[in-house]
Amino acid sequence: MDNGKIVIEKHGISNKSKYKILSGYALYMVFFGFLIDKPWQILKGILDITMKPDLLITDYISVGGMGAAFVNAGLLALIFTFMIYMLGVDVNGLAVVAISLAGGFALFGKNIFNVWFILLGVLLYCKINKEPFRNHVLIGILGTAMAPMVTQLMFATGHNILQRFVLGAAAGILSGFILPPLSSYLLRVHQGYNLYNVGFAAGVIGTVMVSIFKSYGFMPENRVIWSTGNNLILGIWLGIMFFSMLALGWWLNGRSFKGYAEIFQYSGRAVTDFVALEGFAKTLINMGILGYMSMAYILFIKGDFNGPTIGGIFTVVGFGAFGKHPKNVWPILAGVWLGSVTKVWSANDPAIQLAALFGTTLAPVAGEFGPFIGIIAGFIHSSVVLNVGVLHGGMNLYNNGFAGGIVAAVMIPLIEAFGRRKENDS
Amino acid sequence: MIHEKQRIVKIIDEMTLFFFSMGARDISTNISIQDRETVITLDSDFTGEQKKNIEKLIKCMKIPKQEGMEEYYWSLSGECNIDTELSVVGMMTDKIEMEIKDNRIRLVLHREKQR
Repeated sequence: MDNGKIVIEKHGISNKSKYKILSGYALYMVFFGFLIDKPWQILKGILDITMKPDLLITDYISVGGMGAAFVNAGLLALIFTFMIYMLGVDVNGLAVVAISLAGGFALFGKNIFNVWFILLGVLLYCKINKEPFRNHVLIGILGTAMAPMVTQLMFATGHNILQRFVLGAAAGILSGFILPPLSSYLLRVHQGYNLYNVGFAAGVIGTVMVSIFKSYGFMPENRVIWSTGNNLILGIWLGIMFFSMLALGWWLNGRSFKGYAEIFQYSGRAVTDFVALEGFAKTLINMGILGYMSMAYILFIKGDFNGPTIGGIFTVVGFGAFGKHPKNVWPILAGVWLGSVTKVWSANDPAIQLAALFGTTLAPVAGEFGPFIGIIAGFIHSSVVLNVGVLHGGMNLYNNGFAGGIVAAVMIPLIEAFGRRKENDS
Repeated sequence: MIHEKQRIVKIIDEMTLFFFSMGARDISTNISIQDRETVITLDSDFTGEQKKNIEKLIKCMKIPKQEGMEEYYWSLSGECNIDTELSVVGMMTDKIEMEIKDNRIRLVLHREKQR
């Protein structure tokens, strides 16, 4: 190594073009919604979406229609993008994740009404601790995974309207209030090998909340509302979106894909912010490729493009800015698929389609310890995820993050104790 | 900002683990808490060719200060004995001076107090 001295002065990230791109994708969803349905159908659909329970799995395309589902999703992503812009948040990898997940999950559980109580709780936490809201707003947006709890208590319990509103709002605010310290603390349990850490924290909070609710006679229902038959139109829509990501990334990268492969050197373990480490251009290329890869998997297993699976695809794509790349994602998909061959379910059962897409929360396990361990992680994950939903009664939309945290917490200490170690760990 | 002292300790933990990964046998650390900033000075030796690790270090140290990310991820640094969290250290610091001479590396990390 050459002798020498350097001084690294830090400057903020240039955000303007990144905000434009994020807003552009949100508008693409709204535009598609208005292309599909008439305004009055969309309005009626959004009312249905916001006023009905949305426990896992509630496909908003079935509940309110395709137009309403996409307008709801696009609007929510747009509002959150504007909110973080106004707060002066840097568009880093986590910001891309937060907006992608807001758009994706607003097709099956988050809506323009039920998310605000969680954010209000996070705001309250900031006020009491005298911390700037902008430092916690991304975690707050991710924390809207618990939004179905609000809707469930407001619209599906047997009290009068005032009691239901107070109960739902209080549960949402309380969940948001305890989320920041809990989610930061729980990172240590899986050491960042589970990318959906807020999902893990939300699962823990949901489990405690539902246990209390059950003590008062509340029994959450099982539901699978799942639309089918839209693969052609939604496939085309997704294909255009991911092509635009590839094209934009190629253009911003000096009209080339040069240097993209450098992303593969990272295990993906949190914190791997590709926007900060490799730049926004290569990140967009990575997101586009992951989008096509996720679509290919769904088509391979003869699955469905609908609200929940598009939410899953957006999650894979969003985390393409924060840890996931094709090299660490494929072993997880392979592990879940392999599980469907040997276990009592099919790869295209609704919950297993989601287990594969969302199971890529464990991509860092494959990135760090190799594809074989990654396949085992996916294999185990598909079983665990089917059994933990009952703990939080479907009120945590990031059920796979909860399951992924448990799988990682079991696997990582064992791998460290008995498994392969990197050369630099002596 | 809560846990300020623990965060400083975490930065040192992470950097110490990183130096160990470069074959360090002689590491010294100094913390200076000043009115407007905390200055952490680390001096370490390393063995063998470490060009790749130094490049990785520089890349991570160039990451801009991000208080929001720090709030959430600071507890991860210095925790894992397999992988590093250098990028979190990058997000927790405002300015870095780095000097390499023969088989020694000296890092001065400046962390401004939150206003």
